[in-house]
Amino acid sequence: MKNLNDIEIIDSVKRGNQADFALLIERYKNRAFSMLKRLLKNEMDAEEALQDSFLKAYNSLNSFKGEAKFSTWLYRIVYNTAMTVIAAKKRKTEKEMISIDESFEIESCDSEIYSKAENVDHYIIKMVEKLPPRNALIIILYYIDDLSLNEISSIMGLSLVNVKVMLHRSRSALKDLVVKHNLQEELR
Amino acid sequence: MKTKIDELLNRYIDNELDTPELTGLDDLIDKDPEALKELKAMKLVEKSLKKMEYENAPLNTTYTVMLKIASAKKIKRSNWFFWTVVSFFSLCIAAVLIYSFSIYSPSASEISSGGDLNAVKNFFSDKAKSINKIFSGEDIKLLGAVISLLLIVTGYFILESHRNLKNKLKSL
Repeated sequence: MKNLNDIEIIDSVKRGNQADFALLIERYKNRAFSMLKRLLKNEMDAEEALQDSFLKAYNSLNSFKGEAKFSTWLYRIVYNTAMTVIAAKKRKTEKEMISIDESFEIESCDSEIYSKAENVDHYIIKMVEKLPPRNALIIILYYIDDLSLNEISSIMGLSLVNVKVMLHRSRSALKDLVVKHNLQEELR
Repeated sequence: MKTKIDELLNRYIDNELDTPELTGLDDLIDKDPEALKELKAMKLVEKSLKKMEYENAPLNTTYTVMLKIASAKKIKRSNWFFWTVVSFFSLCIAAVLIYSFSIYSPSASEISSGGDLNAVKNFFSDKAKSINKIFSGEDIKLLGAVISLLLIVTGYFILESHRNLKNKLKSL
């Protein structure tokens, strides 16, 4: 059963085998949770939004026609759920998400993270969490999920150019931190 | 200038540079040690980002979501049942009213006595009589008793299922 692909599982759920939806949750829960944690920057909110996203996905499974990959479709639901949570809470992050000209305030927490980091990789990964939510999400989808920029733009409802600009800005900001601490010499 | 180098380095990392641009970058690195530093830093960032891993979702996620899905289905089912019962009784009441209205025919004295107030009075007392007549039959009494019993039993089960559902939701 676990070897079934997404479409086969969805067909089975649509035929009435409700329990098979658990296979999809198992398959995607960690990826979705990683996205939500970076977007919401709060574990509790991320947990709640994760459950909410899967419920929404289950309830609108009939509208999934298989034109896009299931993962892209699900990530769009996850992303929209996170946006709703942010809008409802009217957090500071909301202001940061108005345009792609989001300011990178990562310098303010740099010293603390740098002093606690175990190694360069750990430092850079920790700094990703400090990027503005959408920038962090693009990094996650691009590097962990191995999605193309086209897929990311479709999930986030942004133009391809904007996604690319945001990816470049994020990478450049991280690169500047590496230069600042003279860590580039550790590259082997 | 810095933005230009950043753009060049990003495109280099994404393998988007054509041959003349690659040659240009090579020349830049040879001439400018700062550019070399930036390139090394960018490569380091790329290497570290590729090592990123998923974070683990809470262990009970699947169980909790599946439980919520099952609960939502039960609510839907009980809603469907509730509206079926309500519709059935509404239809019964409507049928009785329509029947009683259809068998009403004003008597000659009502017509001759005139007066709107009397006519309305007579109409409603006649309605009451005809409804009473419908329900005075022995069969109807028996049917009413059976329906009442069914209603009480159904009500008990609906309340019980609501209580169970509440307890389940509380325990989530």
